Amino acid sequence: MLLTTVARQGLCLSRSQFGVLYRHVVPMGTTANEEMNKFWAKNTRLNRPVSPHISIYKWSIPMMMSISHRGTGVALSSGISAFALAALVLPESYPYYLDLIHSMTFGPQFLAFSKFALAFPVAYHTFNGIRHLAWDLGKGFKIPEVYRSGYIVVALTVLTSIGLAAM
Amino acid sequence: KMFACISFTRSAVAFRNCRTLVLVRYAQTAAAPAPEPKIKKFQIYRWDPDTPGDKPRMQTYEIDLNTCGPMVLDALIKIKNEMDPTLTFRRSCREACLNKIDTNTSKVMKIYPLPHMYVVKDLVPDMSNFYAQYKSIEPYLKKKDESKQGKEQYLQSIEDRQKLDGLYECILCACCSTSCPSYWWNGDNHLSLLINFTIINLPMIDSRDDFTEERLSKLQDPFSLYRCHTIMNCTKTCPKGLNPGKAIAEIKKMMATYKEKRSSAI
Repeated sequence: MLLTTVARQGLCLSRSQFGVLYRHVVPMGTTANEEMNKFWAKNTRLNRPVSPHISIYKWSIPMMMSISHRGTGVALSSGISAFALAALVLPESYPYYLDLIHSMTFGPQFLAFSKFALAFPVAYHTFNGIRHLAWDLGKGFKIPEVYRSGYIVVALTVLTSIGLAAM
Repeated sequence: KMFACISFTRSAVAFRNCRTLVLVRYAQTAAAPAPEPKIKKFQIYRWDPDTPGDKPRMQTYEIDLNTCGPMVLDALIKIKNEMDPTLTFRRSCREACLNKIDTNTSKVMKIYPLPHMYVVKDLVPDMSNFYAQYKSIEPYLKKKDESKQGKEQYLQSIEDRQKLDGLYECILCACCSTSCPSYWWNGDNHLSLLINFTIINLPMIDSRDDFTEERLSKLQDPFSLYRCHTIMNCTKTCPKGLNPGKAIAEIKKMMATYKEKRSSAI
């Protein structure tokens, strides 16, 4: 009997305490931006490690083709820019340099290889570019389609580069 | 008393049956040879924030696949229960879409936390940024005229409802965002990559939402949508078989055609 009255009193006390606490509670509304800022502040303060990504993620054909598209694009634009800059800066004219290269003797394999090496990025970037344009139209997004179009691009690239190098 | 009598006899009968059954079972198992232990190595990423100076490392555990369930989560739970109780991981997935263990014992299975995320401990990443980005796209239906709210259902045609198929099943696991190299390099931008929320940007596609144009105009900056370069890691890794890559492409198309003037006039 004594226990129950004490227990009831205890409960009453806690409830009134709770009542006071409840009245002072303010809803914790944070905006998305505030949450993002808190995230960056907290993580830099705690100096947490970042989980590994590029070093451990399994490479796939679409991933490799995507970065190659970027690589060939950078190579091609820097090559053309370098050519333009050279044309601007170098003392002699284009025919002079063309004759200079013609006069040099290269082995046939070297010539064939270098022609292939020049044609390959052009062909790859062009065909993969068409694949990208198809994606911009919303076509070919299922994973089997991505792989299929990828293989077609690579096959066309190799054939075209050989064809261009053989000319 | 009578009751007790009956139950006693019944249990005796059961016991007798059980014993015969047991005998039969022993005979069956005695015939089969004890299976050889099928040991598979698991390399798991570990990092403890409470140990000062601790560096992230890979720890190897060996599990007999014959005494373990088929899913990766079974293996993790087994390690935590029997070998190393300090291994920390979330398991809200409840194997719903986890991988089965590759039973080839010559291959090591490597388990990492979600890529390019701040690590809280072991396999647990800090997801707050992801959730904040989700909050920023306002993932709820917004109506221009709120007066009818709660009175009756907002109706929708079957064709409009079908547009949501392939989008609503998203479980917000963050596999897509964290698999995207573009998200790795651009996740710290404040207008940052919301791209993988395009798949759950259901309100944009849902005919019952009135704010489609405003939602689209919100993506009109170099980072929110246009850091997507169609690398397609997202679709490849989605555990529910959804296609975030396609969803983003569809939104890019919508961005090209929506009337900007109309939304800015509002």
